[in-house]
Amino acid sequence: MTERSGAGANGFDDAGWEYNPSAWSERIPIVVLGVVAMFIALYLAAYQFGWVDSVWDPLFGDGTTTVLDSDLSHLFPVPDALLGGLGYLIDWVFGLVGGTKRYKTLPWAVVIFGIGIIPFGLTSIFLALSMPAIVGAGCFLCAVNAVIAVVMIPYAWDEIWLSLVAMRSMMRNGAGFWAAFSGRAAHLAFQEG
Amino acid sequence: MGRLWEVAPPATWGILTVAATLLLAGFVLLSHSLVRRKAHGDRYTGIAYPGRLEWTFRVGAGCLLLGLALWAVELAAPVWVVAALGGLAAVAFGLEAVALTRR
Repeated sequence: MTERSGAGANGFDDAGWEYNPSAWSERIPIVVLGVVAMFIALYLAAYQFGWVDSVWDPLFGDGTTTVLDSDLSHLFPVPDALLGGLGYLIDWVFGLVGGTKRYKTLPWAVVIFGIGIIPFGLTSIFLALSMPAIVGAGCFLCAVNAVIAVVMIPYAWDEIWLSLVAMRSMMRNGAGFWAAFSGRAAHLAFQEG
Repeated sequence: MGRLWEVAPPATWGILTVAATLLLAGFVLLSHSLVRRKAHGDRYTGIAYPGRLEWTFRVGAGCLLLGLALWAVELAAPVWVVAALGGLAAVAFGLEAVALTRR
């Protein structure tokens, strides 16, 4: 359910928007996707740690184990799937932080959320492109997680954008960067208003 | 760095990094195009319309197609696949160039 009515009461019409990207209806899909992707990544990490003997793959057969055992997957001191799981953890945890006005009351949380989605999305896309190009094999669950990372971008981008717009608006009204970034400027505005 | 070059040659890393960055830029620009329509209730005004909503769509689609073309090059895909993707990317950027001249 998108909050389209009562824009003024919710305060998301500062930039003339017709809906609130911080509404729970906008954030819950990201949280659900993040949780699913995190468990997939942890399952893949369990194989890389040797805790499970094989990995389910309906499309590429042994391709998944070839990818997970490759030098590409062990470039970092810890398995790449574990790093992926950490990234998705940041996504869903910061998807839950704050209320329905957080785009201006907690811009720092939205920015961290954005860092979890956008730069992490680049890593996921890069790894998805690398599998066939460098390893020469496919990995079904890795591809599913890359698709989830890409699907989360449009879901999250509206809130990130409105948060940046709200910060710019606060700074134009005289607030300093840190006051706008921390949300202190928005809290003061609410108290004065 | 030596470890990286053992896994794949520098050219491969370079091409894949550029391709992934183009794909991400494409997804973000297309998302921005969708978000602005949803946020402001804007209506479709034509793919070559010189407005700010459409440039995100044209450039986003161009980045996406160019990224896929680069990936196809790295995968040694058939020439017609690379040419088709590259050609479609050129059409998207060409439409943006047309729109720029109308501004």
